[in-house]
Amino acid sequence: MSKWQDFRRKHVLLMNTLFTVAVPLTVWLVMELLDYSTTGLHTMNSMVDWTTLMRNLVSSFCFALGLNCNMALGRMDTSTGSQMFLACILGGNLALSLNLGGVGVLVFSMLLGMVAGAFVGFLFINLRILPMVLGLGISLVYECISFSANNQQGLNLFGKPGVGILSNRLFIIGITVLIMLVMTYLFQYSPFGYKRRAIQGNQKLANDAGINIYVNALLCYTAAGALVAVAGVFDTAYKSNLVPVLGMNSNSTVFSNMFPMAVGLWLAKKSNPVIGILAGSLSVQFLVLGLAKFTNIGMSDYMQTCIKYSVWLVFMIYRMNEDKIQLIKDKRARVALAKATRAQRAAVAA
Amino acid sequence: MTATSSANTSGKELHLNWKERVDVIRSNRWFLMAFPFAMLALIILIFGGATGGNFFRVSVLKGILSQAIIIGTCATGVSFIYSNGNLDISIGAVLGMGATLGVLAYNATNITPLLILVSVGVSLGLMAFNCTMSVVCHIKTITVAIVVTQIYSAITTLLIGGAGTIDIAYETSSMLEDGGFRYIAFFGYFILCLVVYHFTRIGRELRFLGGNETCAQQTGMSSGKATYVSFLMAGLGVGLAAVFSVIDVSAVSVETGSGLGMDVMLATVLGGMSIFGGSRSNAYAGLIGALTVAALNKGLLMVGVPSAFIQGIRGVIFLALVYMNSERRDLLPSRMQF
Amino acid sequence: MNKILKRMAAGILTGALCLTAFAGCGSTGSGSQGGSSADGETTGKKFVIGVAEAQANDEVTTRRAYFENFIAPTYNVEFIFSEVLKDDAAVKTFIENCIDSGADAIIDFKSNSSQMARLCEENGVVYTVQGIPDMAPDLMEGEFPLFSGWSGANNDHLADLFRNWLEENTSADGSEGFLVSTSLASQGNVQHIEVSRAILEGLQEKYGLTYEQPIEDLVYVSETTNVANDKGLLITLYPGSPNKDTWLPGISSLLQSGKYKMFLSSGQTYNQTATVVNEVEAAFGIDIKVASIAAFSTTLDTAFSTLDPNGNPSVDFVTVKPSSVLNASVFAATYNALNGVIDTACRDENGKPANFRFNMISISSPEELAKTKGWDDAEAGTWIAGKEFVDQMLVTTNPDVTAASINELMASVDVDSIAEMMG
Repeated sequence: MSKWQDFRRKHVLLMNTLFTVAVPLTVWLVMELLDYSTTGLHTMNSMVDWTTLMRNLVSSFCFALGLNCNMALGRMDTSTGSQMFLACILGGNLALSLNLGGVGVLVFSMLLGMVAGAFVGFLFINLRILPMVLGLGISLVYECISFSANNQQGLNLFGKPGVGILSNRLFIIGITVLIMLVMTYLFQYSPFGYKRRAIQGNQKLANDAGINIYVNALLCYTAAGALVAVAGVFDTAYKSNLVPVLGMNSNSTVFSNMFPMAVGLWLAKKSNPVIGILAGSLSVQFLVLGLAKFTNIGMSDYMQTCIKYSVWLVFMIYRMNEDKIQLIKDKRARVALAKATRAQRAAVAA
Repeated sequence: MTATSSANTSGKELHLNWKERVDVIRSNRWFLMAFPFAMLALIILIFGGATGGNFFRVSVLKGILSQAIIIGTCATGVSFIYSNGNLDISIGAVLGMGATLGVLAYNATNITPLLILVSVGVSLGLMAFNCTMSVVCHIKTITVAIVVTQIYSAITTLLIGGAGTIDIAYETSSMLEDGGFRYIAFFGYFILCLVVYHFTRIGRELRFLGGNETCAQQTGMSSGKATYVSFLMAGLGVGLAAVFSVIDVSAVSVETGSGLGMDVMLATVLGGMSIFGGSRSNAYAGLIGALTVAALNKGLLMVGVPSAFIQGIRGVIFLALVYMNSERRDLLPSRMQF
Repeated sequence: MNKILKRMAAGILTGALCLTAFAGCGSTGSGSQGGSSADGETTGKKFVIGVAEAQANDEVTTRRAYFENFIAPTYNVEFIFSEVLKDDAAVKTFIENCIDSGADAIIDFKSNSSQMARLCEENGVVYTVQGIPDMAPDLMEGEFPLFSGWSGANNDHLADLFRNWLEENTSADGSEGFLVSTSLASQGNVQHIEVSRAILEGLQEKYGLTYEQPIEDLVYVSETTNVANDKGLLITLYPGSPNKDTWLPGISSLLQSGKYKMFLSSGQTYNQTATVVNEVEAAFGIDIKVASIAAFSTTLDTAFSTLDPNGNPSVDFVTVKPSSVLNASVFAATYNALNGVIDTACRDENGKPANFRFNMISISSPEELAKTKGWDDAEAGTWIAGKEFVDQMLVTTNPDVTAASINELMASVDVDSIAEMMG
């Protein structure tokens, strides 16, 4: 065993931490090099970029985490985007009408998100329609309700009293840490989390073992609803307003947040899903902010979209074939070892 | 004697309450096959009554068929993909890019067959690419679809540029329309799909793979080959639909095909097909679903339902129909997509 | 337990179905009642008009209220509103469905296409469009006896509004740098094309610029482009959809370069970009002036009442569409065509389909905005284009009406005349 392998074995925690940090760091470094060499700008050019990064990070992190609540159990809920719209538009406007400021908007949206998610979960466990199909139907209904609510005005946070706190860096960090703690406990250490992982392993076995898979599913949907609502509030704080959509357009939010989720789940193999998804979201945000700098040399947002999704495709190709690459590496190592041994024996024989 | 007692026992066992009877009827394969047709007929009857018979006019029914053709063609093709357990929602973007390159080729040469050949060829190529990503690179088809939808749409926007739309000569589109190209091509494709799906070995293999992939592979069936066939059949349909969409409005725009992937999925499920395939799959579900959606849209408008509510009502009806037409499982339905 | 839950679920679904269905029927009912209410004109036949919409925003909400609550009962017509129509195929489907529903006319706010005109023609339905003739030469040149013409903003006047504002708010040498968001002009959005063109024309006139490329080409660019000009002024065109994740970071990135002190937007994006602009101003200690398109709404009130880090309103200048004037003109063109005077009331002096143009209103301070309080207020039902105004445009109340007289009336609309009309 080489010294390096020995070190890795002895310092597992350090190695895992390095692995989790290395990916966002690498993305930042690559974008920094590209940005600086082509536009003369840094990826993180000013405090504006840091604020943007943090606000978008918490939004992307919460949404991806919300998706993962059900996705890990084989339930692709296509209605999470519409849940976000419904929760933020109803909850946010209710809080604004009560003059509760940014914290009120966040809390009320979360509550409405929980209700919206729980209703989908309730329908799911009773109707037993495939989650993706149920999500399509729910999207149609929720979009319609959120569109009709508040005189089709959506949620407007700009200029509203007390919402500035949603762009406060300390507040954003606080919320992110709080969500990380709560979700880590829920996913990793609570009875709900243990049962969820048992169901993730094998639903039938878990059911036979006495786990109430229905209540667990309901809780997953409820948690997802709350998380996407938080994501929606921070996204609205950045874009100033949340314009309601129709025609299943809310799905685009779901699909775009699958990228950080996919990266996060890959990173989670050396940490846990919550930390992994945070690191995944950070990586994607560095990519998006880095690409945005190319606007200065004339790159259109269509081209940026093209590059962003191509990176996702390349990542997925790597992720799905990682084991094969490892196999090839192992094979090479074996061949090298065999050659070395043969050479050694030949030398001894000589 | 044995037979009589057995019959008696069965008689006692068959003393079911109304709910169980409904469940028995619901799980009957003939009911499952007939249900989407019955619902379509019922919707037409209800709207016929609500509009004082106006909905039964030939022009209205013809309009429903005409409006259902694009989604119906795509959905018929996509049912091949669904039947062996795959999903693809990128067909809207594929259609947009196929139509754009078809129109560009036509405008450069003025050769009408080139419009059709390029549209179909590009669609086939893009679907083959999606399939390769899935078969060779082992990425789930839904993930590939999500990613390539954005890439294809962005490329299409850059290709079209300018005013966001490219027109073709009205004479060309009207010649194709008046010559009945849409109906001939659609029904030709539909019949081809029916035959391949229900009367050939490849169709049976696709359904078998969707039902139980492991078992199918152990009997010697190739999942990769079947996936290629399904994507290419879908590509052919999407290519034809791209031509239909150009004929429809004599133009292609950056919005052509937007949101089509989800509309097609909605139609296919409404037509009685499981998006996860298997033995209950069929090739006509897409068309029935597309007709149902078109009839619903037209009917709701004709009875005066405000547009803000149409989508919500469509959602509720969709969920109700899917619930009535789906097999209730003992456990919660799930499928790994990532 | 499970059975109870299942029954509850089924009950909720059925209930929701019934509720939405009844809600729909109820609303239709009220629409019909509105249509037949007695206080309006009655011309015998009750015309049914389909309205094809491209988007769902403040303007569309106001239009709906104007048509449903004012025009329908006053002039004995009924409207069928579309959902948000994604593309031309969806517009065609909507028109076909309207025709099957007995519509007599279509007002199209989405496409500007001879294909739709042809479809209407084949079915004996009047067709009216919001847009500009330049974008649809087929419609201008083709034989469409039932096409009643275009309505839209007066582009020259719009350019004047921008030029006048630029005149007062920019330096003499134009050294501050201009970032122009062309929004969806590159995807054919008529309003964004018109406004982008107006902004470029305004800059051209203010500084006497000569652009290396024609303005017609510049407004359609799909990549961030520096407009090459003879005086070397920095004018950057930034196209793209505000719905894309990359759009707002792009704006932020450009503003952070510190090269731009003027941000001019062709879409209603002043609200979406407000946070970003404020943050850049605060971080870099610069003052960025924002000019945009807007509609009368609480969002606009908030924008003018919220101060940026420099103590200025978060938006410095907006051009507002007097929505009811546009809607009145498309309605008048349609209604006159339905009443058989298409050849006089909907044709210009050359016999071509009429091109109705209205003037936008400019607002550059909270005080000016305060003067417009109550204009086109959907909740209060106070419209700029009220009954007296619309009557002058309709053949049923003004038999001598012509396309020229309608255009004359629309050209007379400005802040002062509206203030007078609104009392």
